[in-house]
Amino acid sequence: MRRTDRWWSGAIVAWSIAVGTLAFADVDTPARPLLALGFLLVCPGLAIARLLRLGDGISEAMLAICLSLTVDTLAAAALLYAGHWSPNASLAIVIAITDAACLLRGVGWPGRPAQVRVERAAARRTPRVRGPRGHREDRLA
Amino acid sequence: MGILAALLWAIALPRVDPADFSDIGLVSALPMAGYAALVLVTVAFVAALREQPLRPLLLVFLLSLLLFMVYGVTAVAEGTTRFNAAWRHTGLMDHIGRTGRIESGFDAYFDWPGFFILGAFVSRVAGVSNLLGYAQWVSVLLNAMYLLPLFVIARSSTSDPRIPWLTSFIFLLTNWVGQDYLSPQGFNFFLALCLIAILLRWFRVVSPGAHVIWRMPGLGWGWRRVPRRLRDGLRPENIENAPSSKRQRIALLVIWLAVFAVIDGSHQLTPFGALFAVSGIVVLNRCSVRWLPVGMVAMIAAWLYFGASAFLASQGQSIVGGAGDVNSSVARTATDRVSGTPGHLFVAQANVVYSTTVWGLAALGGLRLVLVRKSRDTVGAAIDGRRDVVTTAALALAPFPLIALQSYGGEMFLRIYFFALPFMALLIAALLLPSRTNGRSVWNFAATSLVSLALLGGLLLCRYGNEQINYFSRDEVAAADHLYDVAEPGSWLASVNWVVPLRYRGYTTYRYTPLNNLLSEVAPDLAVGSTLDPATTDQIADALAALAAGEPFYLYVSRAQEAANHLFGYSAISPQALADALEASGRFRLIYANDDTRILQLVDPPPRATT
Repeated sequence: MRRTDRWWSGAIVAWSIAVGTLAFADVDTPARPLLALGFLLVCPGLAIARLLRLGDGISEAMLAICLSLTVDTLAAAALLYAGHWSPNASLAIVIAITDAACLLRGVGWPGRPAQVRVERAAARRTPRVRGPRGHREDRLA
Repeated sequence: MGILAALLWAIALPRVDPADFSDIGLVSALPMAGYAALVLVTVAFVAALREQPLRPLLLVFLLSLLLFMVYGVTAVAEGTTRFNAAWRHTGLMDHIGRTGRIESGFDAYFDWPGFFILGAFVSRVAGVSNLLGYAQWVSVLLNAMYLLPLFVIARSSTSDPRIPWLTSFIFLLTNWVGQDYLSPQGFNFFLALCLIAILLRWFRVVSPGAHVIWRMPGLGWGWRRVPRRLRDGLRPENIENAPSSKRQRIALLVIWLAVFAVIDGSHQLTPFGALFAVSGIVVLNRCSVRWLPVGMVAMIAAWLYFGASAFLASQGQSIVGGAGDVNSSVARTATDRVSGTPGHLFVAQANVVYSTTVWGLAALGGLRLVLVRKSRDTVGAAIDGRRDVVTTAALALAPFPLIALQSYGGEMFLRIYFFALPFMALLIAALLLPSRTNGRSVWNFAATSLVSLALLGGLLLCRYGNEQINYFSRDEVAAADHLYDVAEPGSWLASVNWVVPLRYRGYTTYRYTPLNNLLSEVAPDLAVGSTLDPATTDQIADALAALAAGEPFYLYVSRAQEAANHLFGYSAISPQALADALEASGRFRLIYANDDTRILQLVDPPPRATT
């Protein structure tokens, strides 16, 4: 696990603990809305998107927000339609998914995709050739 | 230039007074320093785009500045949440958050509740009673979010790194329709753009071959008659997918379906917009997952059957009856919105001209990509953009079949514009972007700057032209808070029209009604601007008492209702004149007043006439 991976995973888990503590203990502090909104907007999706190892910052950012909103909505709606509406329980589900994804990334699962491994190995064997405009489209993780 | 623009904006913003909004909205209240700041940031971005190599940090700074200036101006200047619908949506979140129930069949919102469930969940976790304290910044947040999938889409259509930046810039200059507030459509638009971005980036058809459509029987003969230059431009080239493994693509497909499931249960129209766009991509053979449209139709049908059955049972006939009636939809969409005072008419006509201009520029962009000869001396970056011009053009046209579904309350052209805008922005970027040969030309710089400034001016007029009624003052909000504090559940909360910051509490526990129709029925012959005589006032009070049927009845009269009545000519009786007459009649008593609002309560029983 690279140092940046550890940093990202640690930051997301710490954020989830902070939001979980504030929400479950119902702490009334000015920081709670910003911490909670930021976490629910970014963290679940970012944790999952990093598992995909897409190696492209903008695509990963897009997926992070898109997936976060999707996970939040599905977790809350599932409990509501099951007749057990509970924002705290939904938050617990979201935090569990987020931290599980961070943990999986931490233990190196699912590994690098085979195609990426092959291409990276090929890139190591051959000198790097930049495109005519130095476009970063093909850069890998 | 960017820093100077930020300084000028900081000087101008505190001087924007909502009280100065005229019939043409914000543009009448924005100081000259504000306009200067906008011009500077626009020209600075166009200049930054000419630098080689590009400086991404500078471009991000200028885009962020433009985003904050154009989409955050009302958040700072007004300080309250715009749009009566945003207050209504907050009420739905409040209801779900408090009760944990979906009142299926109460209204259409409850049958597509995904966005409101999310809002209820988020506000509870954040520990706030509602999201109104943050809602005025939702436009800035949503437009920033839109830029991410837009950037991915633009990048997957071209190898020129300038086009994604210019596309983002053009999108910010042309998003006038104002759907980007605390609304299901604004939220779902982001998700739908992400779906398209995922398909175009990771699920392209990479095997060489012609379009499916070119293989259609009978088309081959006609196709050979098309001039070769045009034909070559229309034929898509083979573009590589972003590097991905089979495992990654399976995971992305699962994510894709989950995101569409959320869209499906969150908004009535967006699933159809996404369906048409994805169908276009599949028909043009640009997506390797060809069963997606069928899967989407199945998911839409499943939600209509299981999730929205109550709504369909009550409203299905009117919905199905309107489907296919294109003439009616076009007439309602095109004409119903163009009426009112001269100032409002000017804004409404500007909306039409502006939208047509954007569509025209996009068409010219597509034409340029198709027709420009690809030769060594003109192989510029813009020309590379034609690799996927067919797909982009198809995505820009894909929302038009929505007009056949229904008029959507006269808003369908707005929604079509919104769905098409990202792809129109991409085509306009291709039009404005200099090719290699004229890349350093002053004329190209001047032309791009002028077009951008014209688009920006039109955006300010069209987006904020009705700001008099989109804006709610702090007095109006304070009065609404007071109304909820004194009115017991089950009360009638009436207003003269719908332009009110109400329904954010007690969405289902109070009875809400606008009085426009009732007033027209009781006093059909009143001339516009006339005052009410005592007999007519008594008639109106009687009608309201009959409507109340013994329940407490409150009338909320405010500045925004007055402005809406003035701009649109909703009712011959002005809200303030009605409040004056009812108060003077003794049938209503004043229970609250401030500079912008009055709240009257029906006196029950009515006072006996003394003889």
